[in-house]
Amino acid sequence: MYYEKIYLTVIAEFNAVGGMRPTVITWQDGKRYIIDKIKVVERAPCKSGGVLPVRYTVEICGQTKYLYYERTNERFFVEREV
Amino acid sequence: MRTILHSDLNNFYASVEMLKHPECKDVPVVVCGSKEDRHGIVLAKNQLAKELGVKTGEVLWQAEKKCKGNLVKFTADFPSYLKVSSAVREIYSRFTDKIEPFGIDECWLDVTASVKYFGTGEEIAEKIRTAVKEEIGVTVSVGVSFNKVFAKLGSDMKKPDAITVISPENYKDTVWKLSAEDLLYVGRSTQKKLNLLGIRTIGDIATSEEKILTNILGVWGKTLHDYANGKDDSPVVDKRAEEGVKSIGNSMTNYKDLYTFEEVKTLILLLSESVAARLRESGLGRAKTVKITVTDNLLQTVGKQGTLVKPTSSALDIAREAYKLFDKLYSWKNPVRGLGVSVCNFTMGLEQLSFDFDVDKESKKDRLDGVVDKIRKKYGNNSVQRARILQDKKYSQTDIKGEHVIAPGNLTGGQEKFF
Repeated sequence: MYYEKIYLTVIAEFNAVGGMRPTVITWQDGKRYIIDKIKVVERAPCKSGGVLPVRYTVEICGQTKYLYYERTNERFFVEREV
Repeated sequence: MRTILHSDLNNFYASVEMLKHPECKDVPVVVCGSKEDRHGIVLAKNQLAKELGVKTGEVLWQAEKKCKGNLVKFTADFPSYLKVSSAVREIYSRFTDKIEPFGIDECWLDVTASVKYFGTGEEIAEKIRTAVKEEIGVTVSVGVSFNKVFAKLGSDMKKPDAITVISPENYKDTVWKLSAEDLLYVGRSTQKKLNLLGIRTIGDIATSEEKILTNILGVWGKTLHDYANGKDDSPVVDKRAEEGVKSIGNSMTNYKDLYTFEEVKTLILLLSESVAARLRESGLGRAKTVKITVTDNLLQTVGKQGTLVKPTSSALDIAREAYKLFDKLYSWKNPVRGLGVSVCNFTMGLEQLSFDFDVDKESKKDRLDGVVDKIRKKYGNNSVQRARILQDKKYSQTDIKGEHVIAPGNLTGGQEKFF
């Protein structure tokens, strides 16, 4: 089972006391989705390859999804099974 | 009684490469230096390559043969390895502040004071094992024991992703059965000497008379006898934090084997240039001791150190001492493949002037070094070079200081032997 990365445009909020919260993601077709809730922020390995990404467990339209942040290139991605 | 853990990241470089390339999880993988520059030796391998008989230190074509052309090769990516290593150490630091690194992938942890907060040594080891696997995605083997030597032995006993407990009750049944060479600091030459006396296991060392061991091994005989009997009370200390930088060194596997002293001298000079420049940058003053390590084409490493008459921070002085050491140390049975030069024993700015110290000459040399450093800082490390280095095109393009060449600890088992 292999996974691919889908890099997304993300609007994020930078807190005055530090920390970053993604608030809106833009899907490949241009549709925007609001992140209703960030459940957990943790360091966790991803399945599509990468060193030390940060994993946001988020709730979008009632569904729980993983959104990863890649520090080296400063971008967000989700994973899709191929 | 102390509770000491030794945590060893399994197949570390290869594991990080698998994190980056999960599509390679079902094929044999090795990590090597760059093939063009002749660093094409296996630095690490994954479990599958290990099962096919691939060994660390062997040349790439040998590994390829064993894997029947099915081998995937990655060039070592040290910045990523350092990142993962420090993330793992951050996990260790949740349980104790007494962490002593041993190479990039191993650490000792003294958790004696942590057991009342986090559970027994074994429970802490389990928490570490799970956290490293879940948060980072690599695995560790942890040895739990009452001293550092047995903890290290424990982490080698069950691999990968496992915990081994060696207690005062079970060490005779577990440790004593192991081969003598498994004990920390027993290298090839010590093992040969022990074998001549019929000492083959750690148990044999433990039950031998201490006097016999000291007769053949000197003070090391007593140390090994103590180690084998679980009498190791060396503390777990973060040496970098406690003592600051202990030595500055660079080592390099050469792009071709060296057959003459003249060739070796050029490489020593190249390494000494970088070491001296880093020493001058460090603010540690001058160095009193020079150390060299020599690796031959069979990947056997030997080392020697010598004390300088006058402490120095000059490349030429370091190189001259290294030439002398090399001449005394190396018998030229085999050609030379790799060299390392390092300095230690720093003056920290406090210097004793000797009577024959030619102050004018020294300050002129210091001024010259200072000017060269400035030029290099402004125009690059290779902007000013010694004529000797320019003779070799490859060397003149090598920027050791800039590249900050890291000597992989596991190439020599993490233990260099000095004699």
